[in-house]
Amino acid sequence: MEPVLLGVLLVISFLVAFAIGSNDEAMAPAVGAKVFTVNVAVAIGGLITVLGAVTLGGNVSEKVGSDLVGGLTLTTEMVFAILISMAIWLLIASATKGLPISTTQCIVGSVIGVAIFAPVIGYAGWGAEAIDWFVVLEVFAGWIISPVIGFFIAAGVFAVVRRIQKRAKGLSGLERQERLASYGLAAFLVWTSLSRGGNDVANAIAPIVVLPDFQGTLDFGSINLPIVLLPLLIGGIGMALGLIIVGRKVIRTLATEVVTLSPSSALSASVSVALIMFVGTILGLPLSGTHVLVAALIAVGWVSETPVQMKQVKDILVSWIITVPISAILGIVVLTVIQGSF
Amino acid sequence: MGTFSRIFGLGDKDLQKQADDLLLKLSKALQSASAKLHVCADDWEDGKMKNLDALQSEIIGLEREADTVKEELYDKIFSKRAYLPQQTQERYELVQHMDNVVDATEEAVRMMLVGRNYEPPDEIAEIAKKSWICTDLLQDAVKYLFTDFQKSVEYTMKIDRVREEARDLHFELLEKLFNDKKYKAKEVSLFRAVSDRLILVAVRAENTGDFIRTIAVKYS
Repeated sequence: MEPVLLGVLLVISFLVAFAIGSNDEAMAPAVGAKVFTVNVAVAIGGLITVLGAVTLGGNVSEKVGSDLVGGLTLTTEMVFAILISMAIWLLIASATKGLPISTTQCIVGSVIGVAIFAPVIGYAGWGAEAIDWFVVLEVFAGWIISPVIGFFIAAGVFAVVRRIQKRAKGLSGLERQERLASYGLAAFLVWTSLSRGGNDVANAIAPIVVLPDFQGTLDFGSINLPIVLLPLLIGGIGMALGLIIVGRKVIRTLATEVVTLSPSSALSASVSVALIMFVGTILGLPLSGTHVLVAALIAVGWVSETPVQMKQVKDILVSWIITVPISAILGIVVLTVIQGSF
Repeated sequence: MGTFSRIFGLGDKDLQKQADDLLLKLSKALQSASAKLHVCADDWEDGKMKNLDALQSEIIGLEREADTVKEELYDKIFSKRAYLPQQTQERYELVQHMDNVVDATEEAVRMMLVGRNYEPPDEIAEIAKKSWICTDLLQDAVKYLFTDFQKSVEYTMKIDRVREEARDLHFELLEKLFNDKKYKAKEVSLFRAVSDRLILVAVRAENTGDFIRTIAVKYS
């Protein structure tokens, strides 16, 4: 491929990774429980994300939105239109109000927009009939189920934790428990960030890792490094910078503007989210990690009888609802702009 | 946990020990000031005037000591994150409540000495005794807050009951002051001011107890 075009693709992937990193983060519970400051959280999160992207992102098999258009293959322009529109909306949500939105929702919205609009600009065989509406329905059902499951499981887990905590006879014993929870939370979120880095980098660099330019190895004497490490590293750095520069706003929203967290409640919410996502993946349920996390945070706040900031919750819900139509519109606009570029 | 604690600024054990010692010191200062206030009220009632100034100085000294302990806790310990922020916040509020009790003790003794040339009604010494018992119980409630929530709550309940007895005495005194013709207007005003300040010691001890109970109920 032309070096200039390859460079452009890498820049786009970097920007998409930056946008994903700015919104899809794991450190908010630790900041909410005041185990990490925002600066420490983004520094650790950024570092671990790069590490995760490079070490665990090698098996990139993500096919952006391919399930939604069964039987058809998205063209390179379409894939980039989807990714760029997703990046734009993620950045707007993160940078303006720090709202945590679902990357999957962005992708679904822009795939729908792109697929429906494609025939208007000359893509034959596309249109509303190209979309597998059953899959769309499944995904929508997942968005409704995700917060509900997230709420009840996290509430249940934290209720059990609270029962265990009540065994502490005095404040000193309880503080010891909270201290242990804070170390557990720190370790757990480092591990979560590592796997998240590996998974999320797929969304950003999936279209470019299949290019022949990134196959093979680079030889440095006796050391052979796969060239695919380059896009993985670029994606990882992009996500890390997104987290460090813009992501702190999303962290603040989730950490301090929804409920007040303690190390034990934050750990309960984080473990619940991981459990739900793990079981959801095994059962093939299309759950949204962001939705589950927000619901889990509300649940632990509810169990610990701390006030839930309903205005902030309302803003988050509104952002979730408008994500699909806005991503669809952005997908159409971006596809129109980049049409014929690749 | 050493290196890890330093990285995240959590739970330095030396600082925690210092904080616990300072809190104990504050608790003792509070109880001691109140005990001296009780002695002062007894002496005033018995006409033993020679010790009043010394007792006042000692109480003022204890109040200053409590302030120093409070500042030491704020500056040296809370700011360095001996505890997690939630725990720091609860300790901070507890220290503030306890300091308010000592402040009230100083106010009461000062007012008492303003009226040293008058002969106080018996209820003054009785209210001072009840206030002292409240702070004595509070000292135990604070101690048990860290080791046994249930016992701590039991002590706060006892504070409530003694404070109610103090309140009853306070109203008995007011009734006497406003209805007994033997008291002149100046005396009514003086004894009312003294009793108001004495009852404030008990009320603030009760407030501290309520705060302790809130923490205990929250976590147990």
